This record gives sequence, C-alpha cells and structure tokens, in this order.
Amino acid sequence: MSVVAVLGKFWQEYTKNTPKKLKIIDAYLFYIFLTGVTQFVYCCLVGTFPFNSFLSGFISCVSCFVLGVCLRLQVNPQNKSQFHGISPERGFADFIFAHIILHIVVMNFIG
Amino acid sequence: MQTPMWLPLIASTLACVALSASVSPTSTSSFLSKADITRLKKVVEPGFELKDLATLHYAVIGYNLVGETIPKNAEACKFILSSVGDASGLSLENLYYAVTAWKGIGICQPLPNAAIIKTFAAVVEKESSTIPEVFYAVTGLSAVSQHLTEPAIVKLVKALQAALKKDDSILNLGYLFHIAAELGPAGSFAFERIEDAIVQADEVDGKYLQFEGGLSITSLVVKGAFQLSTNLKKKPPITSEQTVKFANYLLSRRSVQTSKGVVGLLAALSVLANNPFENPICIALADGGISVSSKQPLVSVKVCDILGRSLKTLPSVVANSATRVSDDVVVISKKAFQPLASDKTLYTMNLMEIKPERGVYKISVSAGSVSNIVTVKVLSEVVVDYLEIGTADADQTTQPKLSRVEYPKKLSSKIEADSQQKLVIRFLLKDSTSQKPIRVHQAFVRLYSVSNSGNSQGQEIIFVAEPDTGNVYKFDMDVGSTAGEFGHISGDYNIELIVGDAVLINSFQWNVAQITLKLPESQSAVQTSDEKSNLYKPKPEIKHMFREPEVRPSRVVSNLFTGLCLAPVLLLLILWAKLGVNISNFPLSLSAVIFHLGLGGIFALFGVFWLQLNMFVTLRYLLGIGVVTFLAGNKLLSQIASRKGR
Repeated sequence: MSVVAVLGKFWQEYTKNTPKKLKIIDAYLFYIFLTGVTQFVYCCLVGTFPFNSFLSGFISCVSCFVLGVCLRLQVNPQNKSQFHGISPERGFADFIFAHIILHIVVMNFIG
Repeated sequence: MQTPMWLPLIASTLACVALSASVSPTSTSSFLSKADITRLKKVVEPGFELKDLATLHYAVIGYNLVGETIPKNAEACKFILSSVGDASGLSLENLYYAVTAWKGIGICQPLPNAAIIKTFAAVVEKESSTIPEVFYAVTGLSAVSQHLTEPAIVKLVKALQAALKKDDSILNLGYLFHIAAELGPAGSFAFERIEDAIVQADEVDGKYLQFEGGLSITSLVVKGAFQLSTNLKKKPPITSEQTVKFANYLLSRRSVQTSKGVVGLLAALSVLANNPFENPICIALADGGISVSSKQPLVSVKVCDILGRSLKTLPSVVANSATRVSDDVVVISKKAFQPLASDKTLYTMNLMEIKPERGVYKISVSAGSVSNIVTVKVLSEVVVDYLEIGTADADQTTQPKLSRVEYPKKLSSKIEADSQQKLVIRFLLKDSTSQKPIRVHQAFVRLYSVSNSGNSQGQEIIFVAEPDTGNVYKFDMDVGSTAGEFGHISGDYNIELIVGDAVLINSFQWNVAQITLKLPESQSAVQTSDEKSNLYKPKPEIKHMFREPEVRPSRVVSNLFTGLCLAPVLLLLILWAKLGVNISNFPLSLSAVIFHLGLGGIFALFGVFWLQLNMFVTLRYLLGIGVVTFLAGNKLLSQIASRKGR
C-alpha cells in the first residue's frame, strides 16, 4: 500500500466519521497552524527584531492552537466518558475565557 | 646654575659603589684622621664641666688616649676629692670613675686610699659580686697601685670561673679579659676564652666584624682580648683578617656621639694600633686624590696605621694592577709607588705616563704583606669640535640651513622658527688629548625664555641630545608638535648646551644662540579652564537610552508577510463555508447579540490597549464589558444546552 493510498483512506474516513462541529474546530486549528508557520518563516528569513513582537505573535499562535485542541477534546463525543460533567457549551465558555486572558497578556507583551 | 651641580653627586655615588665592590682587602680603607680626633674630643669635652664623675672619667680617659693635656686639672682634682669625701657615700661605679679619673689626671693630691681599698677589696672578696662589679673593683685597686695578694687572686679566679658558669655572656667575657689582664700570670685561665668570644662575632658585608650589642661591647671585648694577650705575652687566637675586620667596624663607628662610645672606640683602636702582635694597616687614597688628569697626574695613596701614624718600617708600596671598571682592561701591572719625602705616609705614582683612557679605574695596591683596592677616576678634557645650528622644514623637503658657532661664543644673529619648521643642532665632542670623538653621560639642550615679562612665565624645557653611531650628537625639535611643552607661548628663547660627565674636567654650560619661536595658538588651554569650572557644576541629567532599533526590512517584505499572516483567515472562512456552517441557526435573542457584541468589544479593547491604553485603564474597561459578556454568554449557552437537551 502506498502512502497516497493510506492518506486517501484516512481522508475518506475523516470526512465520513467526524462530526461537523469538530471539522469547524479543525479548520480553526489549521488556520492557527498556518499563521504560526508564516510568522516562523518570516523570523527565519528576515530576523527576530523586534523580538518581543515575534515572541508574542508566535506564542499566541501556539497557545491558541493548544486551547483549540483542548476544546476539540472536550467537544468530541468519543471522549464523553472522560469529561462527564462538562457540556460542549461549558467547554466553549472556558475556551472563550482562556482566550481573553491569553490575549490580554499577548497584547501587553507585544509592545 | 653656573656650575653643574650634579657632578659631585655622580662622583660620590661612583666612589661608594666602587668601595663596596672591593673584595676582602687585607688592610683597612680608612684611619682615624686628625679631624676625627678633634670631633671625638668635642664629644667628651663636656665632661670637664664637672657635673658628674662618669662624664669626667670619660673626658679624662679620652684626652689621655688622644694625648691631649687635661685642661683645668686643679679644679677637676678638687671636684674628685670633694666627690669622694671619705669614700663611704659613693656607689662602686662612681668610686671607680673617681679613682680612674684621679689616676688619669695623675697630679692630684692623694685620695683617702685606705677607705677606698677597703671598699674595693670587700667587693672582690664577696662571692656574690657580679663580673662587672669585680671589674670596677679590680681596676680601681690597680688605679691606686694596690695589688691583690696571692691567696686573694686564687680565690678570685675560682669565684670568676663559678660566675662564668652561671652567665658567660659576651659582655661578661669582655669584662673578664680586663680583670684577667690585671691579675698577671694568674689571668691565663681567661686566655682560653678569647677564642670562644671571637667566634661569636657577626660578620657584616664580609667587611666588618662586630658583636651583638654594637660598639660598646665590640670595643670592650677587642680591647680586653688584646690587653690580656699583651700582658701574658702570647699571641691572641685572632687572625689578621679578623683584626682588620674589627678595625673596619670600629673605624666605621667614628661618628659615635656618646662619651662612653668615644672612650671605648679610642681605647680599642689604640690597643689595636699598639699591640705587639697584629697592627692593621690602612691603605687609602690620600685626601682628594680620587681624580687624576693630565694636570694632576699623580695617584697618591696613604699607607699608615689605623691612627694615621706612619709605619715603623716603611714598606715598599706597589700597584699590582690597575683595571678599567667599564671593560676590565688591565692597564698597569707591578708599578712601584714613590714615597713622598715630605710625608712618610704618602706614596705617589704617575698614572698618566701610560696615557690611560678616561674612566674609572680600580688599582690594587699592596704595601708589604697587605693589600687593598682603591678607585680613581681618570679625567679628560672635552672640546667642542664643531656645532651647527639652524632650522629646517618639518616635513624634510629642504636641506636644513645650518650655521657654525665657535665655543664659547654665541651666534650673532637670532634664529627664527615657526610651527612648520624644526630646530636642528648638530655637534661633535672630542677628547682634547687624543682628539677622538667621545660620548658623554649627559648632553642636554635647554631652552628657556629670555625675559620673565609679558605673558612668558619663565618657561624652561630641557631636551636630550642623542649621539649617532659616529658619535655626532643630533638634536631635532619639531616646533609645531612641541608647542604644548612651551605652553603655546611664543617669544624669544635662549638655547643652551649642557655637557656633563663624571670623568670630565670641564663639564660646561654654553649659551649657543637665541631663537624666536612662533608657536601656534592653543585651543586646549581655553578648554581646560572651562573643564575646571565645570567640575563643581551639576552634571547633565541622566536619561534612559532605548536600544537603537535595528534596520527593519523593506516595506514590501513587511507588507507581504502581513498579507501572508492574514491569508489563513480567508482560508478559515472558505473552509467553514465549505463545511456549511449553520448561520441560520443563530438564535436572535437579546443575550446572543449582547454576547457577540461583548466578545467583539473585548477584542477591540485589546486592540486599543495595544495602541494607546495602559494596563490599569484596560482592566477597568475589561471588567465592565467582561461582566456583561459573561452574563449574556452564560444565558445564551444554557439556552442552547437546554434546547439540545429537549
């Protein structure tokens, strides 16, 4: 089996079996990932100055990605048993709250 | 500054160095001169003011030792007699002083001898007497011509030996030799102790031999040892080298300032000079004989005993060798000195016969069995072969214009130099006899301002003139670059040539010419005065310096990456649209609107915070918006949850 075939199978399974909500979150994660990669490429090509701005931008991406993954874990119906008392709405609220706290720090640091 | 002041200094330094370098000579290098004796006499002289017996004793003994008649001897006798009285009221020491002074004057009325002898005899017989006490008593007894009886001597010797077992310090040994010298043949027991005492002496610089305790103990022991040996007619166990070293030490202490020290020194020196065994001989340069030149070609040495007297048998004095110090070349060997008819202690030799080069020479002189090394300087006369002076361009483009000056005339015309030029002096020095070019220790060019008036402040600058390989002295002074040393003050300066050397007869200072210097104005002078006044003013405020921003990338690159960062947002929207986000499901309740507005408001607030607000203001606003958003969000989400649950 070639790699292409494996990936094709994987993609089919993903589109078929993943709930729509999770797909939305995955799209968000993909967006965050691309933004982070772009910043990193910029830093490699041009330079880190001003360093605090680069750090805050890049760390903001990483943290958003982590928070997104956390939301996805909590929302995923397969993990229902582990997050028993936590509804998807509660997860979303936490996600929003964490973002607010994160960005106040990022904005402070960005200079 | 008409005579060069530094020449005697250099000369004396050289002499000191040369003296200390000589290797264990077998003669002393100095003797007790007339001047020394006069000075030492001055030290003991106050004893004749008749204040107390001790100083009188030292004065009388001191005068006797230098062979001087005692002044006011009648008063001195009267003072002694009245002090002694019936001999009962005096301490042993004072009684000893009185008796020896009485003996020293020699022409006084008799003392109350019976009482005195009784006092001294009691001390001699008492077993607990210390050795110094016994010394006072025995010497006092011999002064009044009272001899101890045979049994008393035997008893005394036993007592002394017992006392020595308790304490055989060098001081006690010194006194013991004196006591034994008075005891006649019975004193031979002490003779064996001389060697013990001598080995305790410390050698200093390989030149001096002294006992711990200094002059008084050294003179006591040396004098006692030689006196005892003389009385026993046995040669003391002291080598001639040791004797010379003792004599060196004693002579080095000629400047002693106490009357006790003077008497000890004189007594010891006269014993060394007069004893029948070993008399140190002094070989030294005669007064002022250190320099030899064509005008004064004779090296004269003084050969005498340590008291400055001529020797009994005149020895033949020979210069074994003469060596130049600078390069160890031997210029003389085995040349005899001629005795001088007028003074039996002086011997002379014509050193200039062999035409030695100028410099410092060490001459090894031997007189009979002893030898010493003396240092003399051969001086020469310097002449100025020629001297040229002039100016040249500082950048060497033109040949310097030089004019000759004859020594000791002064250049008739004034020289002028500005900051683009340099002052040039060339001169050659020659030895007047050999006509060879020579180098001297010191060749300076001194410039000093002619007048002290106006803005000149008596500037004086001294430069060193350097000789080249052909011994031609060259001196270049760039006027522009040395302006600072002149304080930027233009004007007339005298140029003076200073030539000096320790081995020159005619070191000279020669006013060569006058120069008018045009120096550039100084800017630094004004600045320095400003700096001084600023010293006490408040310093400028210290401000925080931000880091210099690095070079930023070009606008195109920045904008490109901004676009690239924003592009994924578009991608996100496309993806979401593709997935079919259900916007129609948006609940059109009040809480939903407020929640989304609040969320938007919070992010807008962050944007403003980034651009202009500070943290505290931001937090205050955030609190307001946050509470509203939280309440609305809470309601909205619970609505959704309950709708789902249904």
